[in-house]
Amino acid sequence: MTKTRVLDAAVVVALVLYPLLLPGYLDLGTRMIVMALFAMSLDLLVGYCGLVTLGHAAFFGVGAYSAGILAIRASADPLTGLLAGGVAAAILGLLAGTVLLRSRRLTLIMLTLATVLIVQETANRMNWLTGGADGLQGIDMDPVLGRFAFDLFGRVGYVYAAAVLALGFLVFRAVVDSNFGKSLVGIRENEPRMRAIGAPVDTRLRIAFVMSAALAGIAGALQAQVTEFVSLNAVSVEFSGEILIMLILGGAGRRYGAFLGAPLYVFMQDYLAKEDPANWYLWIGAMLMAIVLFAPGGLTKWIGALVGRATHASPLPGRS
Amino acid sequence: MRELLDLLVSLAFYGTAYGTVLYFLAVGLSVTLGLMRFINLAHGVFAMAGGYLTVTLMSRAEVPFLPSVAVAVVAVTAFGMLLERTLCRRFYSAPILDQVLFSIALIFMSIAIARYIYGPLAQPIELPAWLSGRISIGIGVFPAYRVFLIAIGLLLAVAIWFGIERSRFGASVRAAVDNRQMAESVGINVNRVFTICFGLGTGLAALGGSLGADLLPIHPAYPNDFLVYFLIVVAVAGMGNIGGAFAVALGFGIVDTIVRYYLPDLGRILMFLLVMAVLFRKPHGFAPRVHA
Amino acid sequence: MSVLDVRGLSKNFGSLEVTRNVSFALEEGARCALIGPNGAGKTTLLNLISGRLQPTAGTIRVAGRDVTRAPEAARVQAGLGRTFQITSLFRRLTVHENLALAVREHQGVARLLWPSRRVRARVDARVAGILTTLRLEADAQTPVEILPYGVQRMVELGVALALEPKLLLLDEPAAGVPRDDVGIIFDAIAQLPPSMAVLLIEHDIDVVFRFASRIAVLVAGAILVEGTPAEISQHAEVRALYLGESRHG
Repeated sequence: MTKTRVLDAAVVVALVLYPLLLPGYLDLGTRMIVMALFAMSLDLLVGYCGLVTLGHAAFFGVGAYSAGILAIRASADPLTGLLAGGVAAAILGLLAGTVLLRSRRLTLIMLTLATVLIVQETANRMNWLTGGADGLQGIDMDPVLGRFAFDLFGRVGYVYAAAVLALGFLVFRAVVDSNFGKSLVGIRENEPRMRAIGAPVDTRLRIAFVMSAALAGIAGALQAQVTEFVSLNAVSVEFSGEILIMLILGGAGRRYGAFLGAPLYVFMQDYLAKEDPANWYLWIGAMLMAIVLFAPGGLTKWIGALVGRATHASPLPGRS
Repeated sequence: MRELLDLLVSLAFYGTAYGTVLYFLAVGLSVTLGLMRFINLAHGVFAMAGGYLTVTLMSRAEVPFLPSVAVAVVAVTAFGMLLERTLCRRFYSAPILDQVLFSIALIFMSIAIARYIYGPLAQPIELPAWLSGRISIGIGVFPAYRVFLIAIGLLLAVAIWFGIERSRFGASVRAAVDNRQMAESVGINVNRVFTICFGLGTGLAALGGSLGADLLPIHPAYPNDFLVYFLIVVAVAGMGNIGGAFAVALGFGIVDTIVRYYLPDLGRILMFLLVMAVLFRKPHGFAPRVHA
Repeated sequence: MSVLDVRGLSKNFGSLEVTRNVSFALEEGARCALIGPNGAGKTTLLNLISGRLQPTAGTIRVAGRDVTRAPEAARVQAGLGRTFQITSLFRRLTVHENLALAVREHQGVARLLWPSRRVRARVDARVAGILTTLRLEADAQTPVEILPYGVQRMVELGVALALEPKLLLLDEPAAGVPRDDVGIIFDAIAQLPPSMAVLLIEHDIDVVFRFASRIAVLVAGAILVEGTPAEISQHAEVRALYLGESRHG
C-alpha cells in the first residue's frame, strides 16, 4: 500500500517537474497529458473490465465536439466545457453500453468499431455544426476560473491540463481501489464465476462503461480547449487504435500504464513521425508486435519485474 | 412498376456481387474464430496481399487475369500456413487482448509495407475483355464481371458446404470445433487441421481480394477500411456458422446496396444501427447455439 | 417450505432431451446425493438449478421463491450457492481476494465506490473466518493459480460458503484431486452447517453412501429412483445399471 502511495505521488511530481525541466516543450507536454487522461479512461475498460474496444475515440470525439461547439455558440468557460464534454460522452456511453455490452469478444469489437464509425459519419454529415472534414474552428476559450487566460506559450494550458489529469487520476484510483473496482477485476478474471456468486455483472459493466466514457469525454473536451480545434480524426478508428497502443505500451490494468505509455508514444510520434512519417506505421506495428511477443504487460510490468528482481520482492501478479 | 422492379432486381444483383466478395473475406475468419477461437482482425491483410499480387503479376509480368489470381491465391495460402505455423499458433489460447494487438500490429505493418511498395493510391485492375462487357442471364443484362463473381461465389459456397459437411476432413474440422480434446483422443491431428484451415481461410481471402479488386479497390488501408464489414458478417452469422456466413454476407450486401441507393447520406449509419439492433436481439448472431 | 423445490423440469438441446421431467425437493439440512452414469445429465440439472441454463419446461423454487426464469444473481440472493466440477476461480488473484469478492457480494457492499473502514473490516473478518474453517490461512496471500489442485478445490468450496447459502450445490467437489487429499475435502463438507441443504454430485459411491441421507439416481436425464442409501443399494435396476460398473468413478 505504501509502495502505491509513493508511486501515485511520483505521478504528480512528474507533472510538476516537466515544465521546470523542459519549459520549451509545453505543447508537447500538454498533448502527453491529454493522451494520458484518455488512455486512463480506456484502461478502466480494457485493463480492469477486460473488455477490448476499438472505438473509444467515439467518446473522446463527442466530448471534444461538445466542448468546442459549446464554446463557440454559448459559453467559453473552460470548466463548463469540461462538464459538458463529460456529460455528453457519458450519455453516449450509457446508450452504447446498453447495446454493446450484451456481446463479448469479436462481436463487441465489431460493435465498438461501428459506434465510432457512426459518430464519425454523423460529425462529417453535420458540417454546419461541426465543420465536417475541415474540422471545428474558431474556438476561443475564456480564462480558466475567470482569471488565468490561455497564453501563447501554453503555460496556462499546461497547468490547466495537468490539474485536470491529476483530478482525473484521483477519481481513477478511487475507482480501481474501491470495492466496485475490485469487482470489475473479478469480472475480468472470471465473468461466469462472478455471476455465480450473485454479482449483477451487466449493471457493473455498464456503470464502468459510462465512467470510462465520461473520462474520455473530459479528455476530448480538454483537447478541444487547449488546441482550440477539433478534427474528424478525433472520432476515428485509427485514433481508437492508437490510444489502445498507448495504453498497451505502458501496460493495461496496471494503474500507471497510461502515464508511461501515452507520453512515450507522443514523444516517439513527435520524433519518428517527423523524421520518417512514411514508416511510422511500420515502427508502431513492429513495436506492438515486440510487446505482445516479448513483453506482455507493457513497460509497467517490465519495470516492475526489474525492480522486483533488484529488491527481491515478489513480482506483481501479471496481466498478460 | 416495371421500372421499379428492374431497379430492385438490379440493386439486388449488385448487392449480391458485393456480398459475395464479403463472403470470401469473412469465411476464413469465421473458420479461425470457430476452430481456434482466434480473433484475427488482420484477416483483410491476406485479401489485400492477394489483390496486390494479382495486380502486379498482370501489370508487370503481363500474366493473364485468371492465372494471376491462381498464383496469388496459392502464394497467399502458403504464406498463411507459414504464418500460422510460426506466429499465429502462439495466440490461440492467449487472452483476447493479445490476439487483437497481434492483429493490429500485422495490419499496421502491412499498411506501411503496401504504401512503401505501391504508394498511397488504389491500384486499378485491368479486367480481361471477356469480363468487361455485359451479358444476359435470364432476369436481365448485367456486367459480366459481377455475374462471374456471383457464379464463383455460389460454386465456392457449395464446395465449402460439402467440404465441411460431407468430407472426412470436414468431419474432423467439425469434431475439432466441438471438442478439441475429444478430437485429439480419437486420433485427429488437430494441429494439422488448424494449419490447413488457416491456409484455406487466407486463400479464400486472397481470392476475394483479387477477384473483387474492381469492387473493393486495392489500396494500403484496405485491411482497415473493410474490417468492420467482414466482422459484421462473422458476428451476425455467429461463431463458426460457416453456412450462415454466406446467407448473411449476401443479405448484408443486398440491404446495404438498397439502403445506400435510397439514402446515400444516411446509408452507412443506418446499416450500422441495423446491425446493432440485430445483435441486441441476438447477441450470438444466428449461429445454432452449441451447449457444452 | 422446502429449500429447493423442482417440478417437472425438462431441458432440450434441439431434439436432444437432456433433462426429462425431473421433480424433487430438498428440506432444510438435507444431505442429498445425485448419482448416475456419465452423460446422464447431472451437471445439466445443476446448471438448470443455478441458472446457467434455462429450462425448456418446469419450475424451480428456492426457499419458496420462483426463480425459474431469474438470472443467476437473483438465485444467489434467494440462497443458492454452487461449486464447479472444473475449478472456476479468479486464478490470478489471491485466495483472500477470491473469498473477499464473494463476501462483498453477499454483504451487499461490492458496488461501493468509497467503502468505509467499518465495511472493509467486516469483509476481512468474514474472510478470515472462512480461511480458518477451511484451514487456508497459510495460503491467504498466494495467487490461486500456483496452489496445488487440492487446495484450489478447497478455495472453490470457500467461495461458495462465503455466500452463506441455504442450499449448496456441489458438482464433484473432489474431481481431479489426488487420492490422498480427497479426505480433507470431504471432512470440510461433513462439517458444513447442519441447517444448510446440500446437493452433491459424486462418482465415488463409498463417499456418497457415507455422506447422503437421500440418494437420487439420474439415468438418461430422468430420475430412475430416489430413496435412502439402504433402499438404493437394494434396488435391482440401480445395481445392474450403475453400482456394479462404476465403483472406480
